[in-house]
Amino acid sequence: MSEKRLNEELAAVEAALGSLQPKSTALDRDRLMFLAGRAAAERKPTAWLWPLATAATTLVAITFGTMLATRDGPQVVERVVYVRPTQQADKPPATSAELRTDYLKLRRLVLLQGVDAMPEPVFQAELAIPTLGNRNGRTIERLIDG
Amino acid sequence: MGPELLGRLLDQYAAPLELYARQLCACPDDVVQEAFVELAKRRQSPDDVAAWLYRVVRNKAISASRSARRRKHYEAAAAEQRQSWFKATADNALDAESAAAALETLASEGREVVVARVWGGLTFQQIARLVGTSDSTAHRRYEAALSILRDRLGIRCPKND
Repeated sequence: MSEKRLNEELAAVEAALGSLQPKSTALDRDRLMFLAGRAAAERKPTAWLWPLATAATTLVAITFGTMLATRDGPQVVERVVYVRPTQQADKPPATSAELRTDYLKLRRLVLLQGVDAMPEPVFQAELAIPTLGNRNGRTIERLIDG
Repeated sequence: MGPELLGRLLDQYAAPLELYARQLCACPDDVVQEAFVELAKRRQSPDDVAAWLYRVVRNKAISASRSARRRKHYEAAAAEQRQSWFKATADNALDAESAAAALETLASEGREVVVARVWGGLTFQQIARLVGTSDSTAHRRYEAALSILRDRLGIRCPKND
């Protein structure tokens, strides 16, 4: 951009002022050069290293702290699980006689199928009463009943 | 920045910068010294060294002036230093003390522009950036200030004589 021009009168004022030379009164050139040299020597190329490392670790700590404070609990994932029956289930069910004698089989049957799957209990009364003095094939009851 | 370059910059800009800083504060030498030390600290020289120096000096001078005002020493110190603004030589077209006194009467905005332009050699664009205004405003302030100085110092156009 070109500079605007002054009219002749103002240009004359400008020229007259320009003939004056500013006076440096109190500036100590030697001291200034000494201070400038010392300032340049103090300018270390790695001066930014520690502040940068401090800033980086602070940033990491803040990030992890924020993540820890705002994270959700363990996520619950719902899915359908198909369980194949075990080989033991394929076996033919145990007979009532077996269940009466084998406690473990009875227990397993109850756990799997419930109490209703238990075989009917056999009461002692239904068992054949041994004949006492069986005579002519008659039992005691018959003898009592007459 | 090497000492040779710094020395050249000192020769070229120290006195005009000191004059410029004197318009704004009572400790111009301290302000200019700090600006050059700050320049030496820089890893790379600024693109426009003159504009950079003037801007740093201006900021530091304004800051120093605020502190000085709080201490109420500024006016007395400025009055003491007025007579030493310019070198008194036979080549001067004006009387140094009269010119300093006339400059002192200008408003601070106009005086700042005149000093930066006449003795700092800055363009109006650089001055506008320095004082935070437009180029045209800087130019207008300059013309108004020169008109006042023309009247106060009695400077006439050579063609009219």
